[in-house]
Amino acid sequence: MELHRRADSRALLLLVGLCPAAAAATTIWSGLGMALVTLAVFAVSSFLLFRLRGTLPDRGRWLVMLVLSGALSAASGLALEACAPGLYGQIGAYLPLVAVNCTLVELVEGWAGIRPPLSQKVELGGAFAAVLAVTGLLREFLGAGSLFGAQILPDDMEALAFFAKAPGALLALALVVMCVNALGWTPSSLRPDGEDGKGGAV
Amino acid sequence: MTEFLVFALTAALVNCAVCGIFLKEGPLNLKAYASLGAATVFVTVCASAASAVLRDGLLVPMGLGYLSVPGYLLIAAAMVWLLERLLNACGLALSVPLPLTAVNSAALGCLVYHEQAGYGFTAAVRSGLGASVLFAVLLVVLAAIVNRLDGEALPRPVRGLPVLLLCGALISLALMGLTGLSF
Repeated sequence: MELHRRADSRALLLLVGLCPAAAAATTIWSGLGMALVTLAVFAVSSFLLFRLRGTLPDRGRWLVMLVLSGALSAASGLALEACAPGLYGQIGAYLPLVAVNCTLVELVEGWAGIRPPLSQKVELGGAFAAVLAVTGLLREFLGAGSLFGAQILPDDMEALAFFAKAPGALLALALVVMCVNALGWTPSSLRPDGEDGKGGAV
Repeated sequence: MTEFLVFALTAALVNCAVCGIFLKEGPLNLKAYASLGAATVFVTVCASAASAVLRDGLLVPMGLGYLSVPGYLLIAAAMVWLLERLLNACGLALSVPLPLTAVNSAALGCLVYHEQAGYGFTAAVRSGLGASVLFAVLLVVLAAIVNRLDGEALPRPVRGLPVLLLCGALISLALMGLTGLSF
């Protein structure tokens, strides 16, 4: 049996943006901050693209999305640097990757003919933020031995520094998604049509 | 900084595998992924050169450093367009059903890394060549791994995205191990 091969799987839209965001989620607050910035950039650029849809040729939409999301991610980086320098120090380096993933989602939506309604997109965004927050929490506890900034592990115990690095981000994300699948918490918008939500849906 | 580059390349690899799995029926075509890797090398090397010229020749002297990210995105897209035009002129076509934008995250990761590391023209081209060749090799490796994954043998919660992310984590470990090499 092969892995999921359903072109209408909503999970595709979620996981395309998860990878770079997971790198920035070293704590729960940076995970939530990265999720909010990603969702804001995606929402605003999608709205602007929707308003411009009538004047754009079909083939050029992805390029406009690239420019819009690039400008918005740069602007969000400048805003974060001015208003929240601590958060900018944690997630600022990964903001340019948000732009590429917004464009990729737009391309995949057009290619596979996926156009989820607004309610499903809001649900996807909530799931995205929740997964990143839990990933950040897991990485903070396992990689630094702290929770919400407070040191939990005693000084004579070393945390698993692996989880503070790039491979650990992907591993933590995989563990979180595995738990979501095992507990059957997959939102209806993430399940491929015709399948139940019990395990392995994402 | 190196960790950022490792993560950008890994994210691009996972995105390529995801697009291949969800948008094409049947096993992933390794020859197609090899050609996609070669296309990434071309795009990344050209984009590294162009971005170094843009940054050091125009943006920094004019105090427009905040426009670097949109500039890099446009440069990467322009290099993809240039590649498609060159292939059409030679009567070739990439046999990949994937948007080349998927590899732009690898190219963009290299460009942003060059800016963070303060590389000049020569260093940026050299670094872009090395990173993109590594990306191309690992892209074929990841596609081969995905083709050999047997979903029936995996526990149900692990199927789909988690096993892809686990493969990505292992690939990322390999990337981290190789970043210490220099010639």
